[in-house]
Amino acid sequence: MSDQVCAAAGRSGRCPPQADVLLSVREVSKRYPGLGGPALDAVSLDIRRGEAVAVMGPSGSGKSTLLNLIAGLDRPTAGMITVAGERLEALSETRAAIYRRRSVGMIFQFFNLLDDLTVADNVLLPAQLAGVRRSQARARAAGLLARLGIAQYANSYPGRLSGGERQRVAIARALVNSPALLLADEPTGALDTANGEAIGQMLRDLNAGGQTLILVTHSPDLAARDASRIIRLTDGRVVADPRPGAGR
Amino acid sequence: MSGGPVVKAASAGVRRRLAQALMTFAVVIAATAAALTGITLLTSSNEAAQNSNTVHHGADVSVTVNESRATSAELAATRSVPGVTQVAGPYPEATMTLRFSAQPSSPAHGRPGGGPVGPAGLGGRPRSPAAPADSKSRQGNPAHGPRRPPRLVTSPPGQPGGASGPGSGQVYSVRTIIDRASPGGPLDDLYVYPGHWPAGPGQIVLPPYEGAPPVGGKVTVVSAPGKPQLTVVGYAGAAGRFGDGWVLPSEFTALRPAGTPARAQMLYTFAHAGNLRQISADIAALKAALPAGTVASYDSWLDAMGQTSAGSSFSTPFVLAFAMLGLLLAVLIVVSLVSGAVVAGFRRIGVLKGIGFTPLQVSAAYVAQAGIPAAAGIVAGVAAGNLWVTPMLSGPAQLLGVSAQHAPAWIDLAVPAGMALLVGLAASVPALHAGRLPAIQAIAAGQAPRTGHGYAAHRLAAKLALPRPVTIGLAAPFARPARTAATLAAILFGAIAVIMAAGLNTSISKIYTYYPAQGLGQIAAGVPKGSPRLALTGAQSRQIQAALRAQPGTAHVAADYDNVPGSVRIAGVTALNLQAYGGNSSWLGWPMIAGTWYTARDQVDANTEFLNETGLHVGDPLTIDVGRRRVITRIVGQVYDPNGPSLWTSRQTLGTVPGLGVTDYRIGLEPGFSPQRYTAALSRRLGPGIGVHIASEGTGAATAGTLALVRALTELIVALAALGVLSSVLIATRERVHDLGIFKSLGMTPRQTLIMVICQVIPPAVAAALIAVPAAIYLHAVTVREIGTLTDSGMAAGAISVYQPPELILLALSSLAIAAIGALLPASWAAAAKTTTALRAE
Repeated sequence: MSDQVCAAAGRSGRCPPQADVLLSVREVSKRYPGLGGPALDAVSLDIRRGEAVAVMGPSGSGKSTLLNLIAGLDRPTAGMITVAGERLEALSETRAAIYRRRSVGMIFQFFNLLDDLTVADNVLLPAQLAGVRRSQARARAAGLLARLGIAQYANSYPGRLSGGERQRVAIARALVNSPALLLADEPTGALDTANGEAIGQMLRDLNAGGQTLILVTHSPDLAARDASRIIRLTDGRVVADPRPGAGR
Repeated sequence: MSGGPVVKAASAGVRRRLAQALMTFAVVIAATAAALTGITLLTSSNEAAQNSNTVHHGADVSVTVNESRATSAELAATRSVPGVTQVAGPYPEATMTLRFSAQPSSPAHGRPGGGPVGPAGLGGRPRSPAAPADSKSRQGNPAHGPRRPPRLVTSPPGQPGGASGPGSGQVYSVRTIIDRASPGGPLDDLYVYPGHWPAGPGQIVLPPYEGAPPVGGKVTVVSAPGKPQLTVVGYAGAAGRFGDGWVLPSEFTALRPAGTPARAQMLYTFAHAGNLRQISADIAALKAALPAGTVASYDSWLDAMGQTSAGSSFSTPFVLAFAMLGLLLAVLIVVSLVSGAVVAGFRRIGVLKGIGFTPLQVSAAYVAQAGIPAAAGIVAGVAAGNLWVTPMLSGPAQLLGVSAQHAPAWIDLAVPAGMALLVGLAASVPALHAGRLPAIQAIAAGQAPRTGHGYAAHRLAAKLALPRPVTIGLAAPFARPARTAATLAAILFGAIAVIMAAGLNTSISKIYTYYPAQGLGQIAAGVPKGSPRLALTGAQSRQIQAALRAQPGTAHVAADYDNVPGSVRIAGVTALNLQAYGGNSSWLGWPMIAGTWYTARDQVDANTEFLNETGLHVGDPLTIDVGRRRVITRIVGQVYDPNGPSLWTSRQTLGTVPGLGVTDYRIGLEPGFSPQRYTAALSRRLGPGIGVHIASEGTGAATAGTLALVRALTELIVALAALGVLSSVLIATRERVHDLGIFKSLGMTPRQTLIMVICQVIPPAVAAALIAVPAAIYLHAVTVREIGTLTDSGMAAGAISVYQPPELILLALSSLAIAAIGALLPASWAAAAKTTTALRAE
């Protein structure tokens, strides 16, 4: 399926999905006003369902910018991003929020948990925002907490947990709505080696179960262990991709 | 201490947190303007009166003399009476009845303003607060006879002389017109503005008063032969200031009704006339120097001041209440915002210390950072306050014939000084604290605080079957109890203002409806306007009674004996208004403060001023001298009427009184009958010899002015309250901006974000409503009672208990409205905030 067909669908339309390609990035650029060069410069790539992809590069290479665009947290200055046939650059703020609820789970370097809410309430939050029935959401959250080995902390507050435990809570929260994409931005960056390895193992296990994973990391070891494909960015451009995007 | 780095740090801080600086600027403007307005209104009542005395070079006393009792030489010789410093006159005067078209609700045309006027603005004379309240000071003053205000009565369209068109009518006004060749004189200057002094025949100058015809308008002197028409060519003097109108001598001769006693006005200044006691002594000296019976009555400058003192006495209690609310609110939000802004900058303080700023330099930088926008706000607030308050001062000013008053200079200095001190303290306390902290602690303190509060609230809220953004918002205020308390206080003051204003609206409208001295019957049928007769003849009475029996719609009738002769007296009371009714009069609805309306012979009702002057109470016996007879009565009720010492009783109580006759019949209608149609029908039945009119309130302008002041003060308080909520929610939202980023990254839509932030103010708004309702009811009752105390009239229960439960529920919702309005802007900002930016914030 060509990019021309997708372009013909218009900015607000949906593109017919290519076989097993979940995420398609086409000539995406991102410029920030007042900053010199582009944060991303004509980046193109495809990611298939079930893939585990690591995005690596030095500081300022555009890794986090790319992740934010894929998550719908920001919009590209140019180009096209499609996730499961949905064009992201055309989404309003409301539609982008709905897209994030349904299709994206995000894991952050510093966990980004809400300290006022219990672990269980943190995990439930995306499901509640999506309007999932209460009983269904609670069952799903309890299952995830058990699977990640932190069920005993359900009524505790994040401030009392270790870094590794907090990151597990964040993973559970990211998975509660069964997202198509799991995005992890330096998931082990704030953890010690042991916890980092444990989290890495969790991510591999999730990917082995069919979860599509995009991982931004500085760590070559983590990338090598957890990802089947490593894309390298430098100065906003893809400088290495074992499988370049279709259309190139 | 080097100032350069401090100034740089402060100005950089202002630029960096421009939104916060603008908020500080806006809040300080509003707070300064509110403080200036409140203090000015509280202190302004005497300024205008004193300025008026200065401008008009007025007399201390105006004396009405019977020219038939004293010669010109004897009058001129009063110049030599001990204590007299200046004399002017005699200026011939006479009582005349003027007729003109009813004017729209506005004060004297051509003069600026429209400010509030109490009931005294209509010409009534409640006791001046400046005068001592003891009755002894009046006992040596037998010449201080009762002086009714110019009576304003409106006849409906279709009446003789009535104008056509709905709502228009003719006003009959009984005035003391003075013969005077020029506005200037040896003693006083009558300031004429707008217009000019009469320059020829057919011209008249009037003092400014509510409902006065405009310059260029026409008045008909119906009491004069031929009913000539005069043109109003100007306004002169000030309301209540020794004259109700002026014409040239040639005009006066033609206007003076035949057979009216020769009277004249003499103007005096005295060496000592500072209070009622001194003035009484001065008058006594004059009387002693003149033949008996020469001095008929007098007015003093205290009475003139009483015109506006009563007006400002009327408004002072609620102005005070609103001023206090405004000042408290201003202090609260300035302290909350400024100290919150400094606390929000703590992390930067730590960074500054880390690069070498001394603790004092750091503190100075942050006080300056708050001080720069605050200083600009103070300057702008003084200007805004003056713009706001000047129209409010114009009512008393235009009544006294002085130019528009402004906030006194000392207030223009004191308010900014006070506000600067407040801002300085609010900024200094947290800034000095932070300056002393080690750098690392300041950085840690500057991060979004996790106080440990509110966890239970969040747990509880999570269980509620409500959308999650709502429950998160409802639980959020409990995490910061101090800030929530400040938000609650801001909403509380605003809600109190709204609830109290609603009650005052009803109370003031009722008070003004109670005011007219004509009594409260709907329709009056009696002596035609302009007739020299004061009472109906026997034939006329019988004619009216027969017509009323035959006229459909007649429900109640009471004969009004409004011309009780001087032979009826109360010992020790010289200025007495005595009203007698024939037949059942309980339906008239005179507002009662205590006791009951009289129901039997030998019972009387008295107003507060009468009871205060005599020292009597409800239940006490009272002796009325009717000629040589003594009638023993009992006071059974206290009536609300601010018209000087007054009594009400039945005709039967007085017995046979030579000269006592029915002035008119008061008529109450069956429900559903139109007063206008009934009046027209009765007029046709009775013919032109009997006057029929609707007993008009004539209070529209005064009510509108006072209610406009209440509304303006309420709007100021509500705006300030909403600003307080806005600043509080904005600080809270900015503090938790990182959490906001998390919510958005998890899929919270902009609409959900808006709802979440607005829901944060619901718990304090509900709490504020529960407190505001009883607080406002109490404050309203205190305020209205105080109006009654200051105007020396007491207050009827009907004007105090005005709230109904359904109304209160609705009014309580004002707290939610104020909270929601204040939270809307920060909620919109939160909804629009970029997720990536929010996530990067710490």
